[in-house]
Amino acid sequence: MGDAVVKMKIEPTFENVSAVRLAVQDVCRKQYGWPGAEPLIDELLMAATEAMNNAVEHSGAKEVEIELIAGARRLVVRVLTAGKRFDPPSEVAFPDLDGPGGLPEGGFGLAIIREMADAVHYDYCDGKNIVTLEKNISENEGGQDGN
Amino acid sequence: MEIKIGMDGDFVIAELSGDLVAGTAEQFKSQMTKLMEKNFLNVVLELSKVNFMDSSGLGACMAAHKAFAEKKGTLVCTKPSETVAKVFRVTRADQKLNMAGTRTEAVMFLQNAVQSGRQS
Repeated sequence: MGDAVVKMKIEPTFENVSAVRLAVQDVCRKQYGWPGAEPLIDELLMAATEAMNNAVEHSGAKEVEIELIAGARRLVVRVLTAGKRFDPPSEVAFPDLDGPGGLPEGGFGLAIIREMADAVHYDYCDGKNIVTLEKNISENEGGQDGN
Repeated sequence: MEIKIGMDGDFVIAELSGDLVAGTAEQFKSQMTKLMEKNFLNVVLELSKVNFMDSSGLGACMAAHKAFAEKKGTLVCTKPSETVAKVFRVTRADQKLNMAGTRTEAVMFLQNAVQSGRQS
């Protein structure tokens, strides 16, 4: 199976994030047609959506680049935004569900990325923030919950 | 996203379909606010037709849960799709939100909540 590589550029809107998510889902479903792949694809899509939402909401960039590499054993999504360095904390405190302020209504995005992706990397290169999400996706592991 | 509103006795059944995400969370919040303004304070939120939910959608559910509780009402989430259930699970939101396996169980949950409220 050859790698499927897709690159996209979008204006930073939440509607475009949804469109990219559906496009990535479509490519992945075609690439990984075996039973059990769908939950792994979904988990990577959840992490990628949060990374793209962060780019839309916080980067201030005029466009967001997305790269998808669907390989034989690994699914990789990169989210690139031009601008000043924005290094998301590598260790994310989980929102405090029992805190004195009551139930939190936000702050779950980075936690979802951490839970759903097998690896998360941040780089800053040529004036671009690059968030890389990786998901191990092997037919032999199909059907297992990655958590 | 589409929100169908129906009634089961005294209780509102809000059936969501589509994506509950950053681009649609405000629509959901607005609909929940309208229900509260009309004094419909006991609501079943049926999630079986929600294809995808992100952290903004989760935050909207949390906000609605709090808002109904502050008005002495109750929001019960039921039948989340597997994708939505996974978001609830990994964020541990399922330990804080009212969850029911079926619509019938959700309605029973609301009946018990109303009964408890009358007795207290």
